Amino acid sequence: MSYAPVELSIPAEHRYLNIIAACIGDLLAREEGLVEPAITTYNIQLAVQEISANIVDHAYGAASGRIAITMQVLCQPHRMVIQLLDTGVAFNPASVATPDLDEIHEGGYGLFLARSLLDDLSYNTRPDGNIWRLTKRLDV
Amino acid sequence: MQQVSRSINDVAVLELSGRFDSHAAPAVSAWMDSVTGRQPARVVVNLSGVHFIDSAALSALVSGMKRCRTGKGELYLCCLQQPVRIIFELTRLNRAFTIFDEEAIAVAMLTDRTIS
Repeated sequence: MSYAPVELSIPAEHRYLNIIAACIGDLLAREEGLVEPAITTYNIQLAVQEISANIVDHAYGAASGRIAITMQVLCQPHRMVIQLLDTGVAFNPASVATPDLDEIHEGGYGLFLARSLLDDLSYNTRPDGNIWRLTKRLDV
Repeated sequence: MQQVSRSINDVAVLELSGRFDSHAAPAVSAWMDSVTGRQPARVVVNLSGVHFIDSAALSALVSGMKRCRTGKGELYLCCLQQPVRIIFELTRLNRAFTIFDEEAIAVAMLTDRTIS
């Protein structure tokens, strides 16, 4: 079944991003019968971490700001949808190339990881800010 | 995240636990800077207590490994939990790093390693 959305607002700083992961973990702990619940939870937490860190580093940079997070478990299909809203500089995800995995890189894995771990990842700019939408199917 | 460092047979060991993420990575990078100043640097990072790792943490480890190798040293990893190991496999960094199941073996391999 679907549940009401949960909303968070955190300062756009790396020290607060673990709060989102904790919330995701607690929400998914209520979902019974998930296939590989620990791996599913980790995958969602990591994808959100990567997008959130991207917002901190690139949307806001040295500026201060906040990230508004909405997370919800939905049915048909059973999935988790997380939206991250920032009011920083707009970003063009298409400009980020997939890293050549045959080479060793010191950076550039973040968006690749998020795309790899999710079923869908979209980004749009709106009048009220930039919004990432992350979707992960919850197999039972 | 907690980090505990020790030296075993001239090998610098860093044992990490908790969440190794973009908030924690700068402290690990600073530790890497301190130990790779002396060459050749032989480093083992024990990730047995790390339950979460992100791309910023991977970057800190890759940077440290490169600095070690530049100085003809080496950085080994050990004791990866399964979710962490999966991220290394996904990025294929499991091929870039030498990864051991036990810290003692990683230290022994570095102790015995002839620096070329």
